[in-house]
Amino acid sequence: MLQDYLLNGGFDEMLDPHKGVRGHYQKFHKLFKSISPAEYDAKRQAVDTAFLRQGITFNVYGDAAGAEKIFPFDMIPRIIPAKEWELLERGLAQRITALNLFLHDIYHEQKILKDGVIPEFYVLSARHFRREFVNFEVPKGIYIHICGTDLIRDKDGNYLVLEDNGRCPSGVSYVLENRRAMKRAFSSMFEGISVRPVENYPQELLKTLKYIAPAGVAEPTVVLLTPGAYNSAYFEHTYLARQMGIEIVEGRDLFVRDSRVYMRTTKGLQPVHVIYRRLDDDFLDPTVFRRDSMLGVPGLVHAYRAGNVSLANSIGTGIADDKVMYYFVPRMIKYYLDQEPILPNVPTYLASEEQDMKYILEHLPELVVKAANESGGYGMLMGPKASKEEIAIFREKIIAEPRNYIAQPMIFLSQHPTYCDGKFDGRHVDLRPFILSGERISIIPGGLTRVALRKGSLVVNSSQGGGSKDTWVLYGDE
Amino acid sequence: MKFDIHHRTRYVYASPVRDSFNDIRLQPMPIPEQAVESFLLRVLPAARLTHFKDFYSNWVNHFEIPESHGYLSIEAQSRVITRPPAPLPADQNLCSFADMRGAPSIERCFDYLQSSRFVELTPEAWKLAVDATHGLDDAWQAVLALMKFVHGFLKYESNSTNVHTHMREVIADQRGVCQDFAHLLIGLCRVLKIPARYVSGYLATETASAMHAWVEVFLPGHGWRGLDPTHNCQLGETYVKVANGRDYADVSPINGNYRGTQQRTMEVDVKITVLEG
Repeated sequence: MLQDYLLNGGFDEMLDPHKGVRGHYQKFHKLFKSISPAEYDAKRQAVDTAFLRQGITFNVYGDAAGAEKIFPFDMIPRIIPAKEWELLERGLAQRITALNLFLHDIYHEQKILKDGVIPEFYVLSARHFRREFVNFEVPKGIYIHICGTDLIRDKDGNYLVLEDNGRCPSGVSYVLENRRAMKRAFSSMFEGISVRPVENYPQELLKTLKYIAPAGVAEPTVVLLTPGAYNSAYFEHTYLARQMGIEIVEGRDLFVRDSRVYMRTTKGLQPVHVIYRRLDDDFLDPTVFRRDSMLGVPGLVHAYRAGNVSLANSIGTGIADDKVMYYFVPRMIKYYLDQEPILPNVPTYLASEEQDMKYILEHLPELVVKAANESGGYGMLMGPKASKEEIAIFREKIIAEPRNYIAQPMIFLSQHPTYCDGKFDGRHVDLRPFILSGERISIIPGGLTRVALRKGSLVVNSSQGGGSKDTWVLYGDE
Repeated sequence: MKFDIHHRTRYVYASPVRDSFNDIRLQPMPIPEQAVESFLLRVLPAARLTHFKDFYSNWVNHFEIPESHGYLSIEAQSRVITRPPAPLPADQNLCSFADMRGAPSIERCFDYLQSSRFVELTPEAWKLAVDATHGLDDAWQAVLALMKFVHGFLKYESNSTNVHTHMREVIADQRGVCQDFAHLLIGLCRVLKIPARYVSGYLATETASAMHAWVEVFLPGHGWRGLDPTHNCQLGETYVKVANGRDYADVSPINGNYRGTQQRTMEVDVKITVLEG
C-alpha cells in the first residue's frame, strides 16, 4: 500500500519520519492490508454511488454548471488517539467558553474593552457587531450554541486553531454520512477497532436547541430555518432536520403575530419556540436588517427581543468569526478564564497595527492574507503561490482597508495517505470539530477531516476542490 | 417653557397592504434639560404597542399590523417642560484640541467619530473643515466656526433634498434642509476628531410644522452641547430633544416595513402649543 509513498517533508498523520506506521494506525493498517486492490475498488465505487443516490451534495457559488456536486470522499480514515483527543476537547471547550463570555461582555458592560485588553476600535468597527442587541439578554446567556472550529497541524504535528465559525458552521452532515458509508464498506473493521460513535450528534443538537426554549414552554417546537434549495449547504439542512425529527422551513413558511412566531402547516398554525437558523443575521428580518431580504421573516427580530422565540446561534455572533477578533481569542481566554490557551492560534499579523502592516507589506510573497469577514476560502491571498499581479492587487486592498485584513505565515499542513489517481499519496488535511454549547459543552468525537485533493494544495475548502475523510477517535491510544 | 406637541403622520395606500412592522422614535428623551410630563402614542388601525431602548438610549415603540389595511395613522402627543442650560460663552476658549484627545476615555464616542450611513469623512469635508477653522486651536471655537460656515455655505431650500440625501450631495449642491445642515456639520466636526452626533426633535414655535434636526458635540469638561446649524445658534428653551444617533438613519421617527404597494401618500402634521412661557 505505501511502498512508493512520499513524506514530502511535513508531518504525516499515519507514518512517522522513518515511514513506520504510528501506533494508533497500526490496527487499521493491518486490517487494511488484507483487502485486495480489486476489493477496495469495488467498495470505493459502491460508496460513491451511494453518496450520489442519497444526494449528499453541495452547491458551488459562481460555478457556471450550477448543479450540485458530490463532496468527494476518501476512504482512508483519519485516526486520532484518545490522549490527543482529550487535549483537543479541553482546548475547544476552553475556547468556546471564552468566546461566549466575550460576546456576553461586549454586548453588555464591555469590561474587556474598558480594561484595554482588546482595543475598542476593533470591536466597534467590526461589521457584525450588532448595536441593536447591546444589553439584550440572550436565552440562557449563550451566544454561540453551535461552533465549528478549524484545526490544523504544523510540520511538527502541533495542533493550531485556524479559525472559529460562530455563525452557521456547516459540514456535520458529512461527518455522519461518512461514518455510515465506512461502516457499510468496512463493517468488520469496526469490530476490530474501537472507534467512538458520532451517531448521537443530532440528538445532542436537539437537546441543545430545546435547552434554550423560552421559559415556561415544556414541549418546545423546534424548526430549522433554511435559505432554501440554492444554498450550498441545503443538503445538510434537510439532513439535520430529518435526523432530529423537526420541520425544515423557509422564511415564507413562518410568520409573526403579536411578537410570536407561527408556522403554517397542513393542519393549521403551530407556534414555534426555537429556530435553528442557517441564515445569516443580515437576512433574518427585513424590517430590521437587510430590507431587500426575501429569505427572512418580518417581525422575527422583535419576537426574539420579546423573548417568545429563541434563535441558535444568537444574533450578533458574527463578530467572533471576524478574523481580526480571532487574533484576540488567546487574550480572551487569559482575561475571562485566567488560563493559558490549550490550543494556540496560528501567528497572526493585523494590518491595522503599524508594525504588523509594515511586516505584511514587506513579506507579502510569503504570507497568507485573509479578509476579515469572508469564509470558504474566498477573499484570500496565498502569497507563495500567487502571481505578481495578485500580490499587487492585495497590496492595494490592504493599504486601502487595513481593518479588513490579517496575514499569517503559510502553515505546511499535515498530510494524510489518500487514494488519488490509482495509488496512495500524501494530501494535506485539516479538522473541523463541532462544538455544542447548551446545558453543557459537548463535542462530536472527531469532526470533519477535510482533505485538499489537488496535489500540493493547502486549501481544503469544498468550494475549492477539497474532499473529506471519516475521522476516528479511538477509545484508547492504539 | 412648557409645550404640548401633537405630531400626526398619516399614510394612505393606493391598495390595501398587510404585515406592517414599525419602530417609532417619537418619544422625547427624559434628560436633565427637559422633563417629559406625558407621552401618548395612538396608532390606527389599533395595534398593541411594545417598547425598548436602543443602543443610543432612544425610546422605541414597536407595533405590528398583520391584517390588510388601507391607511396607517400614527399620532404622538407629548407634554414637555424645557429647562436648557445656559449657553456656553461664544468668545472664550473652552477646550483645546489637545484636550479633545482625552474624549474617548471619558465618553463612549467611538461611533461619533466615524463615517456613518449619511456622513462620510471625505478629503473634501476635511478641506472645508480645515479652511473654516484656520488658525484656531480651541475645539469649541472651531465648532462655532464650523457651524457658522455651514450656515453660510448651504442655502436653506424646502424640498430640495429628501431623507436619503447623503452629505456628499449636500456639499455638491450647497443646499438642503435642517437634516442636511446637521449632516454636514457632523461630518466637518468628525474630520477634526470632535465627536458629533445627530439629534432629532422639535423646534417648539407656534409656526412649527415638522420635526427639526440639530447636532450635539462632545467637549471634555462640558459634556454634549447642542448646536443648531440651520439657525447658527446654541440651543434655547424652545428645543425639545427626541432621539440621537450617528445620523438620520439611527433616529428616523417612523421606520417601517410592510407587504404591498409602493404607492402611498404621506401627510405630516405637527402642532405645538405653548402652555407656559
